[in-house]
Amino acid sequence: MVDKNKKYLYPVLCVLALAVSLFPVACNYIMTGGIIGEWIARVEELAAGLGAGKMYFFPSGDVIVNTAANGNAMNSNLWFFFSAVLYKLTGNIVLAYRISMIFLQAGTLLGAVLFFQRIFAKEEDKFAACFGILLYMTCPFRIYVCYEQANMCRAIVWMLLPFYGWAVAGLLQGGKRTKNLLLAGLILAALGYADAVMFVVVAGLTVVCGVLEKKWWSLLSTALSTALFAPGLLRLAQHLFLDYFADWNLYAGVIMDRGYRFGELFTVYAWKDGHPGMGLGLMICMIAGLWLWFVRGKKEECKIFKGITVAALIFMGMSLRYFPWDYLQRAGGFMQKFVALMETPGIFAEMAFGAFCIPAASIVNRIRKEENQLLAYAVPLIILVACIAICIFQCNTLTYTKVPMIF
Amino acid sequence: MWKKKPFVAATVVLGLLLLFLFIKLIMPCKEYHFEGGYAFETGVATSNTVIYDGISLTPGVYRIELAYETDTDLGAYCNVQDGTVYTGGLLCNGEHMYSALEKTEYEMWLYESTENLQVVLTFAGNGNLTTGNLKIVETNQLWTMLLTMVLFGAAVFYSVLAFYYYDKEHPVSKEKKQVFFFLAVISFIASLPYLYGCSYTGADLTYHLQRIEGVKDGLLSGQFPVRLEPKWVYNHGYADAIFYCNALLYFPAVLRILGFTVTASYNVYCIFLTIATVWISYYSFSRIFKNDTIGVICSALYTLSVFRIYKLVITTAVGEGSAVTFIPLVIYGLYRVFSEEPKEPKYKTAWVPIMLGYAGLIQTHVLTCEITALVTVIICLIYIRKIFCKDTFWELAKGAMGALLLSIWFLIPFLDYYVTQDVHIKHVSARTIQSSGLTLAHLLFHFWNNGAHTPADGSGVYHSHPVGIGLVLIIGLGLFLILWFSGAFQKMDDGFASFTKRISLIGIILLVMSLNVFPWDKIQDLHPVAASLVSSLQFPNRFLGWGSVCLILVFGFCLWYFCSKGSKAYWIMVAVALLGVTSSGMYLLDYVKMGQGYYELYNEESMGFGYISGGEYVIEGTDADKLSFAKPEVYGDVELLSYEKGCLQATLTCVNPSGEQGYVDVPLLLYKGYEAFCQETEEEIELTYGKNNVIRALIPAGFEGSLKIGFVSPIYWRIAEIISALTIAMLLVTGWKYRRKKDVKKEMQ
Repeated sequence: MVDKNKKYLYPVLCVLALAVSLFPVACNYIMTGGIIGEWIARVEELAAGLGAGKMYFFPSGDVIVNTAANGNAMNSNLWFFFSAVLYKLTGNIVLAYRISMIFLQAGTLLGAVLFFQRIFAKEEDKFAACFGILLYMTCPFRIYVCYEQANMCRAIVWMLLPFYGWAVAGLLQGGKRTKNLLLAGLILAALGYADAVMFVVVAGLTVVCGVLEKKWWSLLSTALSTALFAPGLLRLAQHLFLDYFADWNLYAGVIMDRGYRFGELFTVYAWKDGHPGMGLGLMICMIAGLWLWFVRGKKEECKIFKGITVAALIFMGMSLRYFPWDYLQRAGGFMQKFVALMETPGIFAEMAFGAFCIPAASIVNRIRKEENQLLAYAVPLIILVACIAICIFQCNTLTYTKVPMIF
Repeated sequence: MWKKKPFVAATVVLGLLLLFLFIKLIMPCKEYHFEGGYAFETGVATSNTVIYDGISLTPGVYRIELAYETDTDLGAYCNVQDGTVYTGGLLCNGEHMYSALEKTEYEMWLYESTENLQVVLTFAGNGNLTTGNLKIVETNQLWTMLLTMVLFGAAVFYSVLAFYYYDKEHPVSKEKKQVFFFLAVISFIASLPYLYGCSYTGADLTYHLQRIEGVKDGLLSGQFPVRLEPKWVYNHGYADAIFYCNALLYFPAVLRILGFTVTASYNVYCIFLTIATVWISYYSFSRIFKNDTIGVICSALYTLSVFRIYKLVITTAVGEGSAVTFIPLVIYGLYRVFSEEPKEPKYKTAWVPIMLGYAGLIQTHVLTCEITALVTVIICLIYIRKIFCKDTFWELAKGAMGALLLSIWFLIPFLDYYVTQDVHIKHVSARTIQSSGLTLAHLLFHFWNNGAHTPADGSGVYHSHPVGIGLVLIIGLGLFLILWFSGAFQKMDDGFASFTKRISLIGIILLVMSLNVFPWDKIQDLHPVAASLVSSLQFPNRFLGWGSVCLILVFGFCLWYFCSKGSKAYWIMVAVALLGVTSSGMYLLDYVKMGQGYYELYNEESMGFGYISGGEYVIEGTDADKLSFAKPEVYGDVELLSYEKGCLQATLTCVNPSGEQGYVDVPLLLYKGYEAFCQETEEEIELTYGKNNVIRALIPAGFEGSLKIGFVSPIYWRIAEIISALTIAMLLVTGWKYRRKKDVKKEMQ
């Protein structure tokens, strides 16, 4: 009976996680707010180009200037090609949006399934994989990026990061090294075409971690991704070093004051200034993890998970308005422009919450193995309910408060 | 432990840090002088005009003194700016300019060296404004602030280290660790509004910040305890501290003196208050139920209760929010007095929580104390037969006497002024409160947010402020009543069940008293004393504080009942409590941030000095709007030769050559305690009420000399202070002896 339940738990949780994250797509319109205008302009331009036999691999200056696409100015249109074809075929931007969003959410689920299944590969760790997927799919920041900020470039990053993690985990676990190396390079390059800044951050992290841990394949995979993403990097270099896009008046100011206030990292239901918190599910996981450590004296044994937790804490620190981004920008030149291109230190909170899903899933797993059966069942159940309920609340609130833009 | 590597390393680092800070502290503070001047054109409004620029300074806390002359009040604003330091590297809100002042005197916090600090002025264009020389005075507050932070950090670090090694050698029980852990989690979540680096605006925020600044200024002027806030009401001195005890505000005031900003001091104080609430409520409820888990749950329900968040976070009613901290102690004390067996030896300490609770209430919020007294009277009436038992009566009397003695330092001046001074608070009996009452729907509401309306404006629950208690407590009450009337408690013949039954009824009464159907208007019509008492309540929602405590006790009792029966309903109740805390308390906390504006206040001058809320403590007839910084005014043939104004004091040299009495109005509000005498002859000079109730010194005919006016606490206030101090000392000694006796007994066993 128990095995049967376990068998069903996995698909049920995946479907549930996907379903709640698709709630806003049920609206037969595109909601206002965020930078949805930029996506529409990009797709329209791409579609028009397709008709005229022109391929806008990167958005034109007009699109960037008209939509004030500061942070995404260096990002390509590659990932919007599918939406543009849909729009070209149907002439219905809402339909193109809804189908793209369904694919995006499904893609994120697929990436999360592959990633968490790989890092929690043992049969006894399946429970952790389930909760990892759930936490990742219902992460408030991800929902915020997809629907409220409507930053499609960043939403694609959320989709691709688990795929990248999946390939990297494959490399760490050994076996089919060439395949995983190629995959990691390819996915990282694909991530670059979605968001050039995130490419630099993730590639940088890969190299630093690889060198520290003496995993030399990390250099290879990054080199491969750099080669594959060369057009994007060239464009980025033109902006950072040659002031090639001066006419676009891209934001070049400070970002430090746009960082998180400490308390904002822990909000659950509501937030402002584009600073969503970690949400209730992740918060309960963190509390449970601290409880296991402080009260039960049980520490996380996996070195990688410990490392990810430390990295997530560092990201959290970098997302704060107290992190000295101004000092980095004062270095001037490319550094000043690159940091400005991030637009907000909040992107590090995004990375922190995404990264926290991994140790959090492990914590649920450890709780599940507790001898106290009540605890072993109740805590995961509470986390499950918290994730689903808060995601539904978030989706409901934003569909309730956002005016339709295009029907 | 002392020889362990981490300890030695930490001690070396701490020693070096302390050495560095002490060197910095003993180094003389620098002064920077800049000469120049700027005349603003009348009728031309300007914004951020740079008066001085290119100022080089190293990190520190500085006082900006810009000389100026103006003939209008609040017509110009002086501030500093610097585009070269990092975001948050320069903290300052500036200061308004006043016709009676000759220079600005505000502080700024500079955390990074600069070469280009600018002093800027915003001028509204009204009247004349000329600026003069600039003096920037370094203070050592940056180093005192850092020293405080280092010492606090070291205390936390050593405590953690000590616990770590102690736990290794003598393992602390999991139960104890668990309690500590969950109380820390509750403290953290409830403190979140104070971890945003700003202060959320509430109706009372400025008033309470002024109170903190008042204590700070009072201490710096040499008063202890602070009776009149010297700088409040534009340096006229205000008697807030006499009527509204500020015992707990010494903590944030000391932080201010040590160099912390207004916002930081306030936030640290509120975090301290939150932690105190968590621990005190845990202590009280866990002792009542003799169950740590129920104590933790009740503590969470109480600390994250809608009422507490509404009072402390949303309206920023710091006094009432502070009083909430002490209510559980009173109910615990009353529980002990009325439900424990008087013949048991431990009964002899039942008065202690009552004393501490009442003393805390008196010294934080007198109105909450009045409501507490009402609840106590009701409970005493219910238990009237027990009152006649000598031991019970004696415990209650000891509690009351202890609270009185602990608070007598505040009560004597309070009563003295209330009886002898015709303050405005004695003239507010016409204010009715029934229309501000709640509807039943308010009590049943669960998903509160900060809202925009008070129930008084006839908008019902529509976007109302969270004046409720949350649905979870109502569910607990409903369940308790069902259990009670279905006879579940019949077999329980101990005093606990009967105490809870009575408390549930009192809780219901208090909730009804908060509704707009309760006939407050009719009660006010009965008698002038009733009218005054009811009017002073201001809002019937004040009863929700005690209502919440009563209903949390009832909820806790349900938990305890199911737990003692081994019923699964216990876990359902635990889940309901968790759901309540996460979906009501935490929900409300998030929406406070979403819907509330915020301030980032650094220096007190930016708040101004005039806000006194309803002006309850000025002498009746004073027009507070007409008070501003002012110079002395002479009448008759009196000639003023020199004048110097300090905090609550003034020294003036004058002559009155005529044969008639003349007088001088000094810009200090006249309260009992002010004295004036001639410095040469030590002859006392008569003081009376002058224009707008300021001090009027009557200058005798032919007077020539220096006149010193100052505030001196009457001798009987001082005696009262000594009595309170002796009581505290006696309690500490008794407590220490009791504890030692207990330890010796334990060791013997």
